[in-house]
Amino acid sequence: MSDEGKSLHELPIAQGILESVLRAAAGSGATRVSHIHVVVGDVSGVSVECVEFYWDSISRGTLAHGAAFHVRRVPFEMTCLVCSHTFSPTAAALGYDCPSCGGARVRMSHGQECYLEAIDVDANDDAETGSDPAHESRTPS
Amino acid sequence: MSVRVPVVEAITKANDELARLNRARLDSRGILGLNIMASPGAGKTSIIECIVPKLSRDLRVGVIEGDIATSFDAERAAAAGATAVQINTGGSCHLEAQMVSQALDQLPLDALDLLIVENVGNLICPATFALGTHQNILVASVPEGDDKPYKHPRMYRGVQVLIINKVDLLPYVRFDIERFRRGVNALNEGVLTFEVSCTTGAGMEALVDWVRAEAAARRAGAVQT
Repeated sequence: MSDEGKSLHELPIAQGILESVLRAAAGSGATRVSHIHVVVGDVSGVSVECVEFYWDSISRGTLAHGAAFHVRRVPFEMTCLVCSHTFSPTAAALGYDCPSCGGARVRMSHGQECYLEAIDVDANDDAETGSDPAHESRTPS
Repeated sequence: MSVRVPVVEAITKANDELARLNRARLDSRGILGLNIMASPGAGKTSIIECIVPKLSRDLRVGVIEGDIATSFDAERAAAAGATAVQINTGGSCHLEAQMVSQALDQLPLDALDLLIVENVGNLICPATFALGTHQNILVASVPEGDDKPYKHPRMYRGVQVLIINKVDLLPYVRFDIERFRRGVNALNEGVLTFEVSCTTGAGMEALVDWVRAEAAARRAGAVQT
């Protein structure tokens, strides 16, 4: 952490995204990264707006400098285990009970997502494109 | 030519990898790692002060204290009988695997059975950053209110153990424990729950017994492998 220790937690997250972006870019023969697509759930605890704030300084001198961020927000969503109704709990006063059947057996189905989905790159026409199949990839739960 | 390159990689990947290394350091020595999270004032340090003297009768306990500044909490943990290391995050609102890795360097790992990490007081981002510990523990205290599972779903969802502290205050504050439990259950059904009071000592034996059993299981696992 050193000098950056006084940061919000989005700085290390921004650095992590940069590493992933550059790794993916290197595997695709990119000359420049133009767009970055991330998916962030409303209760993920991560503020991508803050990541964008750091991006200019940390990506300077890399292929990803100047890339535009596109954030796909995923609303907080619950699914009722009894009637399969899905709903977004918005007011704490309403709680998590299913608004359709009134049941309390519900599961969080969306809202915790937090991952890099894709990048758009300018590639040399003769370079191989597409992700490296050996590259570790997983979707967080 | 512009090309779309699919990636699908967790935003916290770099931290997750360091957390795995921390876990391996604990596992190779059969050390049980606990990550205690809560809002400020919920009683994280007080719980450590309550359980460490009982645990240290048969376990060697290390404590990593995460704080923005000051070493008060590490001093309290050391006074309770633990080998304590302080991490001052210098303003960061949570611990990360990298900070825990550096703290592990300062602990006598070959002479420990149990590692307790006390995270920075905060109900938001500590849930996002794995540290490599085996059990994430959330301390919820009665005066915080029964709405916390509804306001901080990510935190309540990501823990294996929930400690409800300050239960001695239940008669004096507005805390609908049924409403609280309903919220917890929707997010994290069957989460192991202890109801305790550091002031009266209520519920502490059950918590201590659970930690002891978990530590014994970790140690047995390390002997087998």
